Amino acid sequence: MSSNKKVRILLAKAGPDTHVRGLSILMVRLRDAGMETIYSGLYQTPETVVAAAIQEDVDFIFLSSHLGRHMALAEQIMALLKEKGAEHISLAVGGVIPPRDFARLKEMGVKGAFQPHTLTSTVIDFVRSQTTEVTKK
Amino acid sequence: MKKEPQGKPPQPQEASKYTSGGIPIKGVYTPQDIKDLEYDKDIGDPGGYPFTRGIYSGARGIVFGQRPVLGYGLPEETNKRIKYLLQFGMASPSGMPSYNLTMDMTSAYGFDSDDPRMSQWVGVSGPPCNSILDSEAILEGIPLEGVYHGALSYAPNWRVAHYIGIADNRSIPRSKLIGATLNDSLHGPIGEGVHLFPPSGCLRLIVDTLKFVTAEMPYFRACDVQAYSSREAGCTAPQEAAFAIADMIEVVQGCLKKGLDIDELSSHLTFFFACSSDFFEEVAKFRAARKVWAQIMRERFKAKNDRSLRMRIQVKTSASTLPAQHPLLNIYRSGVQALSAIFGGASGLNITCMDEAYSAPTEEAARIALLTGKVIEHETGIGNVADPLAGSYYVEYLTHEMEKAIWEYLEKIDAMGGYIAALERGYLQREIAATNVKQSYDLDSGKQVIVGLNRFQPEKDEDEDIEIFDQDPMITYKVMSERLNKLRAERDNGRVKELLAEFREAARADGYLMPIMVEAAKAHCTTAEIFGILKEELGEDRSCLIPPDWFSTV
Repeated sequence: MSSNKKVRILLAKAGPDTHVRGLSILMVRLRDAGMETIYSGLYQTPETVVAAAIQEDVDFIFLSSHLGRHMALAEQIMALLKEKGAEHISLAVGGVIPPRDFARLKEMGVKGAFQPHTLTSTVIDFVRSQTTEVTKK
Repeated sequence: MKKEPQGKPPQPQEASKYTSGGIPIKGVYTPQDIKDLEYDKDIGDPGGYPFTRGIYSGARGIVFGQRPVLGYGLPEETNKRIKYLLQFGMASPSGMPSYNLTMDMTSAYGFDSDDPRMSQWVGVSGPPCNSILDSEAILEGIPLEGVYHGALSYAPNWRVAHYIGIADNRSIPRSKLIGATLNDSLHGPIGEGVHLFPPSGCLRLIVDTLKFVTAEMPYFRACDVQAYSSREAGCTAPQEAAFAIADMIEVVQGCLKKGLDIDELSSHLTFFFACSSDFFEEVAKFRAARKVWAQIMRERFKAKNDRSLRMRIQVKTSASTLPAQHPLLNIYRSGVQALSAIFGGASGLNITCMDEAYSAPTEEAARIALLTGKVIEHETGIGNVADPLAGSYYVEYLTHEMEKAIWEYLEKIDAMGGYIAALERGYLQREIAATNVKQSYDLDSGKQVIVGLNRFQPEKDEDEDIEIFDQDPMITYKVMSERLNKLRAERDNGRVKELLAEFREAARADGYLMPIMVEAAKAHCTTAEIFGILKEELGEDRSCLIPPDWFSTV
């Protein structure tokens, strides 16, 4: 990623999970922090999320999950990213995600996992640390 | 306990100068602060206009009905959970045995369980509800008479149609059914986010159900404004109360246009509020909301019966205030919020489970929540006297300020053309987004403290300290799909076709839907069949694709 390009992030919801409070905050706060945010809208599937991520040329997908289906969704999104040759796009998940799932998410290649109420500054720091890493490479 | 970081220690904050909802406060209150309030006009006795002090005279209004929202997995699993919690005194505000059911989001959005797009979500956050057979399995062995039915049901009231159908099948007169349903899809776009139909279609379905219960089910509350969900989505206390009242004004106007009588209608209306952490502000919110509503019913809608002026408030303590860190502390948080709701004169109370930030509640968490209310009821004595905080200089001042804040919002919304107009132009959504972003900055800076989250953080993730609810939707998906196949093969498909045609005709022609829906339920029509017709005839709500600019005007 070139250093003068703004980080682009797709904020995604999937299935009938309509809890958007967290994403509505990130939408503004990430933008305030100099990043570009794109919102997927509701009722997406792993396929439409990955297609949007590729089309929008994003660096990150942030998947918000509040109905306990984060493991299955993350697995499908990771597989699709691989299949479409888009492994340069990183996935992070946030919402009702028990920490006991963190290790398995990491094994899948998910770059970050955030519980409810996570401070927004923590999420911003996470994006910055990830992009610095990429730039160094 | 993790040591607080040395680099930038959070500074002790000065006493907050505002309530969490933005009402200015000072360190002490005296008679000077309420000198303009007149007791009879502004406060009144409990049970008397303007109902600031509660809708019942005496302590009769202090009730402890507790019904945790429940439901998951297969219908029979939910049935088991209902029976388990009934043993621990799960009851309605009036003290009748009761339950408060959810349904899974698949059914809530009008899909059948065998829709492959929904396979990951069948039985998640509620049981599936494809046909009356599922509702029968949920209520197996539970009497309908003498039990207060509570069910979160989104528009249309397909699940209420199931309930009526079961009563018909069990030969119980509809007039004896007691219970409540949400029937407030107008709050979806600013709350839980359930978007089904355009607002005009939502309103039509709400009014349709109210018409039915007004005619046939005198003891069934059929519009429970979902202020809880908009509060959880980020509203402040004044926003929560004002948006709920604005929504109900829209519903009442819709009913009056259809020729319903205001005094007959009013006994079917309730409000469902959250109770959050700012203790006195919440007390003031409930007191002020009752007063504003009484005035609207009397002056704007010309209700004649005194009973029509009473705002019945159901409360659930806030889930969004319960962080994942130190989860056992959430028992305390919910308990304190419950006190606040009782001091505010709530007509019914549900206490939220401690494991909200982890999963759907475990059996253990649900039992603790239920019994927390029992401790308050039986051990503290706070239920002995009605509205015990009345006359407090501070509480009366705050109630008055809250009332002003609510009126200010209502006037703005009225000027836009009402609740639906405000929704369609994104005003309500923008107000909530602004509140959320402000709070996120306040949490980052430490201006607002949540113990365990931005101060006094635990050293490690503590989820090993609590049990976490787990389920596999794929199993539920498979079982429910098999049951649907069987249902479609065995039912009288000629009758189904006939009823669906009749239903489509009524939907297209602005006809009366609920009576047909009850017959369709009894004939084993499925959720997707009914919703499919409505989506085609009423249109689908596209506001689920929230225009990003709603979030950009902060």
